[in-house]
Amino acid sequence: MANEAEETVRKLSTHKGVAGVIIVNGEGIPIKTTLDNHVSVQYAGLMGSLIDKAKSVVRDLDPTNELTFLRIRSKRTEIMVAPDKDFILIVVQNPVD
Amino acid sequence: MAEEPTAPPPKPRRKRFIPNYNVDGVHRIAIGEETQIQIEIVMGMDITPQCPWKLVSKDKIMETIEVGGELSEFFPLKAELEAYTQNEVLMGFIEDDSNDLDEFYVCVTVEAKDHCKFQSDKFLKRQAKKLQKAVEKKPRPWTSLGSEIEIIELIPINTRAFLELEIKTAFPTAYQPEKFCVRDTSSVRDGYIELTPYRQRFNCVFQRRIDTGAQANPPRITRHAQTELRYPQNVWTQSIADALGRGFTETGGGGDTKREKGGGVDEFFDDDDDDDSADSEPEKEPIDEVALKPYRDAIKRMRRASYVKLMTNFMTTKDAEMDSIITLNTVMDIYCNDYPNLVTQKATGVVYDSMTFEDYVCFTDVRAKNKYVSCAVFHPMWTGIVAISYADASPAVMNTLSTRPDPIKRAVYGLNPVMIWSHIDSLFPKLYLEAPREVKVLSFCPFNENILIGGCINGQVVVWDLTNKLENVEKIEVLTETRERYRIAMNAHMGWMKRISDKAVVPATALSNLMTNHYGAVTAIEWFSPNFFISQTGFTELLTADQKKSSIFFTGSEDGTILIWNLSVENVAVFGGKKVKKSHRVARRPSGLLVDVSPFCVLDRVFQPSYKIILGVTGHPDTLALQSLAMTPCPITYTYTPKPISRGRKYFTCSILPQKEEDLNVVMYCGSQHGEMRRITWEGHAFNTGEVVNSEYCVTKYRCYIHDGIITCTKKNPFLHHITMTVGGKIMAIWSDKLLNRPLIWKKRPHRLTDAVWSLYKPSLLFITTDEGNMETWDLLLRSDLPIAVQTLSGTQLTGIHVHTLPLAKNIIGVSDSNGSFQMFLDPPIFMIENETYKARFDNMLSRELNVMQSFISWQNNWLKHNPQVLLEIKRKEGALLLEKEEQKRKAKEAEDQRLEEEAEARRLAKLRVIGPAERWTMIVNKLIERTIAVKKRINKAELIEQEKPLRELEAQRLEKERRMLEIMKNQTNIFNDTVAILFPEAIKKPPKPAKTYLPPDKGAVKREYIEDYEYLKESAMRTVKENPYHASFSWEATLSEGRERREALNTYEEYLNVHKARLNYEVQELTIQPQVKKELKKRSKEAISTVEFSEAETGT
Repeated sequence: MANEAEETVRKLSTHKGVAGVIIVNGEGIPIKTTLDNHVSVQYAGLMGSLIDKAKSVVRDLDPTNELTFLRIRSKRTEIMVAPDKDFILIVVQNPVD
Repeated sequence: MAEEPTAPPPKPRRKRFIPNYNVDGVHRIAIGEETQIQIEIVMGMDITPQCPWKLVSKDKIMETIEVGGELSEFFPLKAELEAYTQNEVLMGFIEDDSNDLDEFYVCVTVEAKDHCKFQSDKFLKRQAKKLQKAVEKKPRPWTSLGSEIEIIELIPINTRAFLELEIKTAFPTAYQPEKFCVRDTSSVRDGYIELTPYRQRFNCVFQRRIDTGAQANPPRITRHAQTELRYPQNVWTQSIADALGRGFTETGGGGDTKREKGGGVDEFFDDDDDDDSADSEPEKEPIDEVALKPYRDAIKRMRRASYVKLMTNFMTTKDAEMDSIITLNTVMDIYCNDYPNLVTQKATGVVYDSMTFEDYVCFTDVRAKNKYVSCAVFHPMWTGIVAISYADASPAVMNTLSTRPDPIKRAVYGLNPVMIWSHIDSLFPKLYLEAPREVKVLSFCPFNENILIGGCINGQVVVWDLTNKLENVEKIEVLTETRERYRIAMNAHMGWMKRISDKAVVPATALSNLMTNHYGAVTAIEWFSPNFFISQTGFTELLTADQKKSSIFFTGSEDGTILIWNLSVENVAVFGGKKVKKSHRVARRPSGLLVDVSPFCVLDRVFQPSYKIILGVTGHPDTLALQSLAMTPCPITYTYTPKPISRGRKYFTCSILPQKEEDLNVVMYCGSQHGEMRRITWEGHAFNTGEVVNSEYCVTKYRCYIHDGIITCTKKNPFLHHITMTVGGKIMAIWSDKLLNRPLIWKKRPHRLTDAVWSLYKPSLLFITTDEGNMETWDLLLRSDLPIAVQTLSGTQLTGIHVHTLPLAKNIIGVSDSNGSFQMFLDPPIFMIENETYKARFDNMLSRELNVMQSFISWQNNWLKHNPQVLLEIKRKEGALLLEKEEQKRKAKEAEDQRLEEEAEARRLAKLRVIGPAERWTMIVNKLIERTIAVKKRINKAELIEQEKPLRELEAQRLEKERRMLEIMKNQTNIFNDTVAILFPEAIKKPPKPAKTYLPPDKGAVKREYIEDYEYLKESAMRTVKENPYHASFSWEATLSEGRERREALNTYEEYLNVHKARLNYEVQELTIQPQVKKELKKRSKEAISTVEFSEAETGT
């Protein structure tokens, strides 16, 4: 069973420009990552708080609404975050030239 | 259609009224005939069945009772009648055929009487009403009986839909005063106008648009809480994780179990951990067990199957979405920033987002200071080359000059700049062309790139040959080093020398002959199709393919003539005049000097027109002061042919398209300085008239005054040659060859229009300049009532607009303003779209308009034909006016005749004077001179008269015709009245005049009034007389005694008188004997008689 999750992470990481895939659990601990450990932890922590903030923003704007996806575009990379109740999937990708 | 007659519910019949007389106080009694006579109530005499009631005197009834006693019919009622207070008793006959008795009602109380009277009146009223009803029929709702169908059939019914009519007046007769309205002065350009006591030139400065970002964005707040971690332990769990990993490795067992249970993922994870741990191994930090706790828990939890399942679930739900996003990201960058691209790549991409013209270059020169651009023409074959002439005045600008400069001084010393500019050099003109006088108009030959024609203010035509001139100026001499040095050295020695030949100055190659050219300023030049030739007699002929192409151009001038010039060197001799002088001094010039000599040099001051068209009517001195002229443009195509040295411009070559005989169009549109538009043509003479330049009065197709100002521009559409546009005053008009006498479309604008030009890309597109400094872009296909775009190009008036004729990636439009500068703008790409369908669409639209116009005109004519009285009325008024004018003319003529007579008289008197020998001698000499001149000029008087004959005949015929016309006009009122009398006799009959009277309408009333007045007056007068009787005190005694006294008073002298009487009697007797005392006696007797008489009278009283 765990193999399936593992397989998914690997598949995602094989895409062009993907720098890393991280799965973070509800407590903000990276449980699966293709990145360095400390980078993963940093991502997990920062994204966790950002996701919490974003969730509250979406909920505050419209109580019936829910955050489903978050993309952060920066000059060098794009961070795609898919939040859920228990987990957070983070993909870091370098955009195409 | 008859409506179904709806039967109204029958009204309930009114109850028949039966008067009720059976009340208290009413008695029925039968009355015998005698009694009836007695009390005057006989049926048929005093009363009728219609009104059976009568008031009978109570006294009479009482009398019958008294007379008849108990026998009286009234006896039973005696007591009641006695109690009755009023004088008259109401009695009524009761109609009853059942018995022979005449029964009556008798009212014996006042109440009963009133009741009966009311009842009977009511009954009578009812009866009368009933009768009236029977006589007068009341109108009732109409019910159809079927006849209405026949009537309806006869009513004409409109079956056709109503026609829509658009009626345009021929000309706006007066400017309507505009309503005043409140304006916000600060929001408009001309909100405030300062009136200065001196003359000042205003330049409108228009405000630049400023983009200001006024968006309310929230203030930036730096809050460190933003990045503060929710799980602070994570920050330093980095090392803790490492430590954790190390811990695992150190403990060993944990790692092994993980491997066994977690599988691949864990292995991966752990591998990382291992690496990290290896890195962080040197750090010997104590492990924070408390912080590590959640990690350990997490790892423990991860091993659980349920947890793994949860995670797998999560992964499968998110996988698809994430995968697609990532795949998309790998393919394209959806977050690409387009804004910089929009700015940097604006020029390359064709974006039809703007209709604004971009500034390109602006040409101004100090030599053209305080002058206007009189004409600017783009070169037909070289891109970006424009020839501009400058003049002191512009037709589109109204000048107010305090002092007029001396025209001679101006002509001699003033500058007449004509310059050729290139779009790549906006600071200096490429060439400066010399002209003897101010040049008003320029034109490049469309099929000879080197020829530029100019028209001067004095009517001369200037020809400049520009062969190699531009190249000479642009050529950079490449010298070797030594040659350069030598040249500098030479020039240093020749400091006294002044270079006189500037390559940039081009003298005029040829000037036209002053004797034969225009005598007013040249205002228009048009080139004729080179496929045709115009002969000396004005005939046009088609040149065959092998014949040399002609180069003929037309010039129009203020003097009201159009001259046709043939620019060819071959038949210089034909022009007569003087032959080209050959220099004998130098047999042959050095070839170097002849390199740039133009072949047209021979034409200098010999060049003269081949034909002359006068824009007037035979016999009338006034001609059209021509300002603009439009002809069908030459059929020429230009093809791009690159040249090795192209200094910032492209070269094109022309090819003349072949034409057939029927392609010839000799119709010209002429716009005058007074706003008149004429469409003219010419025919040519069949013979040579013998003039130096054959001339002809043009054939005027029609003339139309629609413009309210000088027609500054008359231009044919470059695509549809039957369409012409004119601009003058505030009006822009479009004319079609197929519509006579009126424009196809005309629009009035709020500002004066100064110039216009058709776009060369779209047939319906045109650009118009106004004196407000705006350029209006019109697209007649899109909308014909308003311009589609208006752009302010200058702070002052714009005087002209010209389009670059050759294709360019970004084409140029040139606009001149009243500051004397020529600005070039780049066309927005939206105005450069070419499409084949535009032409057809525009043609369709025009033919539709034409159809509307023509159908309207035919309708109008038809209507006028069917309503001739309107026209008659108008004509009658016109006739009256004409008559008045004629009268004035006649008076003027009489005065003239008288003057002439007087002159003749004076001459006759002078003739009577004795002519001295000296005078006779001078007369002989004068005659001799005249004859000599005639011989020299080969003028034969008889021949002249003979030649004049047809003209005179024509004139006589014309006069005769006019006379007849006037006669008819004079009789117009009579004719009109007669016609009216025949056609409408009832219109003539006048209503009878009411007789003038001071009597009021009711004579009887007045009479009665007067009679009443008279009665009253009489009565009152009589009364007054009676009341105031006249008492005169008179007594016979007094009167007698008075008379006696008087008698006595007289009688006192009686004795004395008797003595005299006796003496007189005696004397009378004596008189017969003594006649000499007769006279005296007579006198005395007279006195005596008078006294006697007196005495007798006294005694009489």
